[in-house]
Amino acid sequence: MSAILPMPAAPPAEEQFDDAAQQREAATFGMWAFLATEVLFFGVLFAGYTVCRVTYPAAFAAASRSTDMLLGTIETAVLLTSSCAVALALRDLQLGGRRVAFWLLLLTAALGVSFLVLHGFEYYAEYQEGLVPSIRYTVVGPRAQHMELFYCLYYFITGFHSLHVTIGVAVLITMAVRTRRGAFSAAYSTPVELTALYWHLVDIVWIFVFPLVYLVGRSG
Amino acid sequence: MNAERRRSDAPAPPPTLANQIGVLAALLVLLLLSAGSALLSLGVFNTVANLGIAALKVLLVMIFFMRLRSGSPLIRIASAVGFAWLSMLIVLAVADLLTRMAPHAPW
Amino acid sequence: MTRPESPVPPHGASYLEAGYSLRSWLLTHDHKRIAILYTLSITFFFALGGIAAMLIRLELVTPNGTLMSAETYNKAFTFHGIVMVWFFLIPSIPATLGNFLLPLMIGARDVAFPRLNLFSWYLYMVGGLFTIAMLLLGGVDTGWTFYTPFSTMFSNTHVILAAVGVFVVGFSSIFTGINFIVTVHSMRAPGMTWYRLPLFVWSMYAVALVMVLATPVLAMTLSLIALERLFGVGIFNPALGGDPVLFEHFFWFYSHPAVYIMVLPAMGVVSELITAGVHRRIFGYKFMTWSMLAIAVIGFMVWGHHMFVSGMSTYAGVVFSVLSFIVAVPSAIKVFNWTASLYKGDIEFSAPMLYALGFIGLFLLGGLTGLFLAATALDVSLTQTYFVVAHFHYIMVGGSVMAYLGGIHFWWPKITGRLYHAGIARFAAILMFVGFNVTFFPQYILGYEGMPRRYHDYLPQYQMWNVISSAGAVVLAVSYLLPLAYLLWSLRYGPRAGDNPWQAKGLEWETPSPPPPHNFESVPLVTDGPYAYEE
Repeated sequence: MSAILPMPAAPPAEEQFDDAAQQREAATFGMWAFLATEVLFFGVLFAGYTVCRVTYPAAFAAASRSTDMLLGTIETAVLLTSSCAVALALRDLQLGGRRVAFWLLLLTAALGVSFLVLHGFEYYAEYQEGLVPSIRYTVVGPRAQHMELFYCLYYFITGFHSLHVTIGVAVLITMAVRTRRGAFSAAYSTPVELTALYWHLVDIVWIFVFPLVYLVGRSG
Repeated sequence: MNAERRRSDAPAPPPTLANQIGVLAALLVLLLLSAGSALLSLGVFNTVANLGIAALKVLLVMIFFMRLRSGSPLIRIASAVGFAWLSMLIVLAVADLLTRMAPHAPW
Repeated sequence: MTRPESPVPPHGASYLEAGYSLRSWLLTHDHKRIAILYTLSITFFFALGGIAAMLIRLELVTPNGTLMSAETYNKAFTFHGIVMVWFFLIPSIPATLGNFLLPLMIGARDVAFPRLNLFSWYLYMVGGLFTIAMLLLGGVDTGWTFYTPFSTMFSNTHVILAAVGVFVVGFSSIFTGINFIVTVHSMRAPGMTWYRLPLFVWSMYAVALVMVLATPVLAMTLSLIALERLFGVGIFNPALGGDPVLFEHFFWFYSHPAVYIMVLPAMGVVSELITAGVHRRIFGYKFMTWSMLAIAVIGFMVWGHHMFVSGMSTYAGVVFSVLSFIVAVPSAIKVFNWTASLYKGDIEFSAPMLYALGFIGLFLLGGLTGLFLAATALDVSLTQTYFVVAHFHYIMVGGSVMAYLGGIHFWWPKITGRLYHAGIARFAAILMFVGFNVTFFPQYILGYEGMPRRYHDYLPQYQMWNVISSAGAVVLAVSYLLPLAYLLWSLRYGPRAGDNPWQAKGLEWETPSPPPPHNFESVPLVTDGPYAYEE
């Protein structure tokens, strides 16, 4: 796309705002406030994890060893890369681009889907091994009940997280389509900015999940 | 805020490509460090290292990808508040857990 | 991104005249209309919760179970708690008066996110539908506190339905909180600096902070209850080594700040009613603002005082006890400052002022008894008795509900453009004060004498105070029905109100009653501080 196109103007600010700058600041601040609520929402699960692990450290170590560390590491790498991708997509839009941003948004979504697929493999394997409380739990031994606490938290945390990833993928695809249709420009990219912030939060949750689920008791 | 807004309408220029790729590289290195160190027998320092590295990764994401580096003080406070409040919950709940003692009869 | 087609009203028309269709109300973006939608909804749920209360008080007239079985009684007080806490008190002032007044008081055209505001109301309604479904299907018997493992493992009632309903209405709260925070930061009129804001705005800001930081914890806690019920396993299950006390930590981490969600807006309203009723500046404005923020923050650190006898460590109990004493200090500062604002003032004993004075007295009693309960040694005897019930009803009903009604009476002319009969309104306010005390003061005595809460039958020696309490409840109910009657009557037959019938200060009084859709003809320029009454 090398033709010189007129710079698309930003859509007019909504009537409660004085100007586009105020609208953009308000939207961004509102999204950060929402992200704080997400931290606390997931935080309860992390708090539950902390309490249970402090009470049953050996059981948690044993249960963590049964998770797939390789897949978990790859999934983390996938999400970290996807964060970079969406950050670069926003950057491209803000520099007046459109095509690169479109592909980067799609890439982010694709990486999100890959994450879900990889995690699906994990769930499948865990089901086969009988590590799913209430549904198929075949662990025996003195620590089986306490390990079940770990697995409950594991499915709760990764379940809610995967739900958020799915929502994020849907929004990213929507943003990609809108980008291709020219809805955004250097003057106006707020929806993508907000989407990127949300996606980064999804990444941040996983960054904490990774060591707590996959890396406990791995030595020796 | 209408009342006191700085007339700096244009948001800060986006970070450079090199910067963002550099941050990703750092994140991936930290990831490998975290996974690698978990395989070594470091006792309690395994957990310390893993959580420390995770915190570092989160800071990198927040500062460079989420652009807190060029953000206003208000946004920076907003970004920290959720974590601060969560730590209140965790600290006091764990403090309860660790200080429970079985009551013993006075006789 | 479409906007509903609403005809541009002719110059001078109010927000009430900008469209009469159902669509113009149900798809409105106007914060004032959304406030009215909320007012209708919460009045309905207040009636439902009130009916549950009447059933409870009727049952408690006699020592034995006469009207209902123990199981039904459990469902009655559970329903009463769920509805009154989540569908009345938490939204009440913020979603009605807050929504209506916040943009007006800061000189804005609307809140920051009007569509999100409307969505918040729809979330409230969806949550309400789940709650009514739960009622129709037979109710829940766990208490509004959903303690585990009873709620997760043993109750045979519709816990998940109730949990979903509260989860959804929680997000209504969260989005309102986000909206208010951003609005106050971003949309103040030129010259409206932070220290020129009316205290009601500060209270909306403080309550929004609490809503945003506390409610997500409730959301996840409810999700965990539902998941544990569905799958039979979870982290609160003692059979797995889980800890029911952990549930209490999570639940009260939200539910204690929740009571500050209920009282901070009331404090904001009272500051407005006092200054307008005595035509003076508030005494100690900055102390008032910072005390509200202090309550909001310290209020997050005291939740363990609900758990002194639950199995929590005694050392943690000491910490929470000390913090609970500390959190009383900013509230006390406010009571002193309200009193000082009134001292030697020329007090206009209008209905709003009567409600405000009632608030101060009853909040004081309720707050002081909170200190009794914060002392762990006393709490061991008083917990789970009627002393606790009396304590929180003094604050929530004697405090918050009176402030809510006082606010409705004060801003009614602004919201509706009509005046109500002042004499009947004063009578109703006094009747409410009397009825309230007759209902709830005996409950302090009952608790002190050892009557447990949540019991449908009791030892015969408690009957006298129970009968008096139930009699008071009838008076109280009448005093709630009276305003409903004369306020509705005023909509049709009341004289039209001017812009500023109370001669009060504040941007909301500098626009017509009722205001035009965009609040102000032109953006106000603020040059005075708040409550700029001449001495």
